Amino acid sequence: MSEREAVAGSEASHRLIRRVLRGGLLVGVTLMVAGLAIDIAMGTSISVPMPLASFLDTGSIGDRTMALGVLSLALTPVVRVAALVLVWRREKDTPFVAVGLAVLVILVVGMLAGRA
Amino acid sequence: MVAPSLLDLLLLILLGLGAGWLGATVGIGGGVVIVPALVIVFGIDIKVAVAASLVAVIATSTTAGSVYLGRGITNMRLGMTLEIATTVGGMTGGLVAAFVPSNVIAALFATVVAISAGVLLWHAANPPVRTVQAPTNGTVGWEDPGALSGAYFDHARGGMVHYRARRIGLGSAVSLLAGSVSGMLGVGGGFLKVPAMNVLMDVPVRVAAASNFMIGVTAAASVFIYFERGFVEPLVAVPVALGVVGGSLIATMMAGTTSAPKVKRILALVLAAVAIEMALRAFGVGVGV
Repeated sequence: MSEREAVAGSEASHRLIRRVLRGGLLVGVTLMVAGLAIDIAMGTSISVPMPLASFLDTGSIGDRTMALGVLSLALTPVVRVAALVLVWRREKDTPFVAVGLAVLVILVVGMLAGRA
Repeated sequence: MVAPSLLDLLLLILLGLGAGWLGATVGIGGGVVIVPALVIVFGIDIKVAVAASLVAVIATSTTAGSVYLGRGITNMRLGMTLEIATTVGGMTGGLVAAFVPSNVIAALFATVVAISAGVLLWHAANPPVRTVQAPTNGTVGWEDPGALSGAYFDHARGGMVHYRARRIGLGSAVSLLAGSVSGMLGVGGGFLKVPAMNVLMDVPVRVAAASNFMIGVTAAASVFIYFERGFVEPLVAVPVALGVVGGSLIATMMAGTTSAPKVKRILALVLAAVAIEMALRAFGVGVGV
């Protein structure tokens, strides 16, 4: 592959991943800022644990909004790995498709282990 | 359960700002600063502090990655390859931590980090000679498909620097260790991976720091466990995370304006501080966590 093709491929994949990261960051930060503002405006001063299984039923509206923001932010790296797998598949870069899939499998196993 | 005042929230944001700047500048997640600060200064439970730190690690890596990706410095294939070992190490570390005494873990941590700081300082004083070429058609850099190599534009040296990662097995072994330490102590692991990529794998420090934004993947896997177990307290995690985003943006805007040896010295200084703190903790003089 020529230098020109390598540059074009890098720029396209980096642009896509940058969009994924900026999108996740925008959603996460917006929800976190909104939740924090709601908590301050409503005078909520106690931070409570927010278990994943029941966070939508726990705490104030501000806390729930902030927890949703944290969750959005936490999911961004997972979406990033999935997006990279698709990019490398499109580029027919098979060894790195396998690498990305392996990381996704490890992530899912880790999440399931957390629930056990 | 934590009851932060408005002043506490402001201080938490400031803590995040400082940690975010440090994290994006030297390629660590900022956890080495956030966890001790939350426990010592704010008296927050260690598990709540670790959960907040993991959210901060994700925020740092997401922010830094979204900026670095536009500059042609990042090598995502390299970051993803090392992430296999790091995530496996993270899970293993979490399991092993339950059976190893805390002071043994702290002593191990202090030793590994002190060695890394020493190696990095030596390397800052003896930088490897690389070929520098004039950039063509405004190219800022690229990663080669099907390989762990690429090139980037080095502002300090005024030309294109070509590199090829070597000793992948050794780099993966350190990544496994970094992931294990991360799982045991709740820090990002970049403080081990960045020096390893630079010194052992011959990857330029700026590429290593930029590619290490993949540590957010490891932190994401861990944070779901903390979320599941109720250790994510929004009024602690969110102000820190928002500060971290601001600090990371400031640092990434400054990237390329400092020389690589200077970045290495900053990283070595951070590692020395972490080593001392962990050694004190191992001998029961530390923060009591």
